Amino acid sequence: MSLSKTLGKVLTLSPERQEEADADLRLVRQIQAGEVAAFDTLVQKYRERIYGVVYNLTSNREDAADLTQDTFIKAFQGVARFQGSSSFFSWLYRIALNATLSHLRRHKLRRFFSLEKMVEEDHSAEVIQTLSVGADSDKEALVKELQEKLNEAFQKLSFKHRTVVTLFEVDQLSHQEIAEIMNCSVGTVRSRLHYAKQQLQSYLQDYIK
Amino acid sequence: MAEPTHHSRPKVTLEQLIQLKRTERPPAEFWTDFDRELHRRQLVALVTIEPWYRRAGSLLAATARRMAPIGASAAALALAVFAMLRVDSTDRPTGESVAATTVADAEARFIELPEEAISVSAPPAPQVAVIVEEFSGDVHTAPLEVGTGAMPARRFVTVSAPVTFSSGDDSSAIYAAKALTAGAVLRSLAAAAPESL
Repeated sequence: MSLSKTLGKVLTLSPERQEEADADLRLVRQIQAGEVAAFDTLVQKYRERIYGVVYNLTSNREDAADLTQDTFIKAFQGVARFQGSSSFFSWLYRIALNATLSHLRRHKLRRFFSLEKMVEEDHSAEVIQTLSVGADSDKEALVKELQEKLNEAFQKLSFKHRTVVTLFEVDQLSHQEIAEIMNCSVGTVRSRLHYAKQQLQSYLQDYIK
Repeated sequence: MAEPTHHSRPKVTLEQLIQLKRTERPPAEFWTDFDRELHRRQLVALVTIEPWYRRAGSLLAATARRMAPIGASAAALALAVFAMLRVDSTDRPTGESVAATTVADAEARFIELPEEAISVSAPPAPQVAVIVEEFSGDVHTAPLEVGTGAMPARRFVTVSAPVTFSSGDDSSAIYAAKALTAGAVLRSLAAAAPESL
């Protein structure tokens, strides 16, 4: 492993994340000792995040549900071999990304959007409110239009770029965590993120300052 | 739906726009079904034993993944060695090329001996092309009668350098043996050469 990767790995975990990783590892050791119910705790902890990542990579909620299930089943089947050389969290994310990539490759000619409903929150309401000023369509139509454009723009990115944007902007992981998950350097993550944002900027220029 | 007037609308930052993706979430009841299905699949995974060929396949795939760099290095090395050998052999004129050149110079008619009519029993170096031209039995070397119990007697001739044979019966016949080395045994000449041998 290169020095930058090693350094990236060492620097990855903040104290909070380290604590979380330790807690995950304890649960993993319990599962390995035969306490299968401990796996449920891990599922509860990560299912929404994994689903969110897969959904944003596929823009299809049925695929996201299936792939999230597949991810946890694969993790369940492989957890006996998990040695703890990386955090459980990044191991699980890698399983999800690999499953998603395989799925997208298998179905690259048969892909369509199946979008989740946007849950209205303070920050999203603010954005939609801003954009709806001067728009001809009503708010609901604007939300639908925005959602479609956003997903189209995401799907135009390559898998690697889409992954970096999703993990950083949507899942709010750090550069170091993304680097660990994607097995690349922090610099690569930064450059992919920069390029992906440039691309998104050009696809979504009608809405962006 | 009428296309909105994008230019007149106030705009937001890219980050604000991307954050909208965080709000795309399934409803709470989705997770109830999800958990139920996951438990069912977990149970199936617990009681299902993969057939041996799948486990062997997974093991092979995992081993292949680990060995891939070694395999790639070995292939690259083999390719490099092969390329070096090719360069080396193209630098040196082969028996075939010498023979072809010599015969072409002589504007001769070229009749190649059949592959099975040629047997090289000497070590490969040094390489000397042998041109067998017009054939006669009493030139340069004496023919040998060699036979084994299983094989019918055949005529052999041993050559130690490029030699010329002439045939009294068919002076137009020219036989070329390809890539013979010095000291090679040219076998089954009787099949291609006149009986006068």
